[in-house]
Amino acid sequence: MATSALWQGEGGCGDLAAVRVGVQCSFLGKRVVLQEKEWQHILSRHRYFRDPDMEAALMEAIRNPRCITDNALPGVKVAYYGAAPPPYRPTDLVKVAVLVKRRVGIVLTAHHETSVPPKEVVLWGTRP
Amino acid sequence: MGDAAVSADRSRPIVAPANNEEGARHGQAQIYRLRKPGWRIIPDRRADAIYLRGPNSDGPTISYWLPEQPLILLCLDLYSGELVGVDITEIKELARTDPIWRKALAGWAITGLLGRIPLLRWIARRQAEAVGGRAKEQAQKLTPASA
Repeated sequence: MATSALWQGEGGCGDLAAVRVGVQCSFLGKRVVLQEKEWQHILSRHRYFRDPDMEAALMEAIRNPRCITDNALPGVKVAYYGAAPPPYRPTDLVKVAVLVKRRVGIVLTAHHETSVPPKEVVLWGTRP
Repeated sequence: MGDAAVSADRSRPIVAPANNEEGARHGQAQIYRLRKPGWRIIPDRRADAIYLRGPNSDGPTISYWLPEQPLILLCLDLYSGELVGVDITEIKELARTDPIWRKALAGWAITGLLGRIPLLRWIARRQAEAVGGRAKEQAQKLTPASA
């Protein structure tokens, strides 16, 4: 998915950042973006995200989440849980942590889990 | 990775546990792997996290949070079930609630400052090795049966 474009940073980002892909989140009413530098960060920690299906699943988790949680820690961060793509099991989840700014949400991290930690408060959807 | 390699991988059976409790137990039983060479530490200030990555961490992994400390995640390889990474997230929160992690974080900050002064860089390098060792020790203490 090569949809790089220049995007004027908003809501405190304050710089020009290359956006790899953006998704409209109906829950937050904001555009959630995956910046190129954050994507490289994710790849440096979880190299298997290089698989194009993984990137698509990550954005699909934001577009079509199973549940959205609040991590109740400093900084407004929400986590989107969506279905993990093959080779993962259908019950496995892809978790995408998003930093919520004034006008946009910025993807911070992503990885796969089997369940939602109990301390995370479910904002929307049902706890898998 | 070519398409053929990907499809070959996908035909392999998944060994990593399907539920968090079992996965966390499975990961804790393998904490001894941190003592093996090839592990590296990746600090991430923006994400407020430290990642420990093993030598075989390129494949698909699944993360299991520790029931007693959900801020620490153990990453197991999907196909082998081997512990290939440890994610220590929300470092500031961890340091606030746990004095041992607070000391480790202070050591990390001092190392960062020393590293900016050219003549003291070698001290910082030695300090970084010590901090890395301490982080591994702390991770190893996560399980009573770490041998």
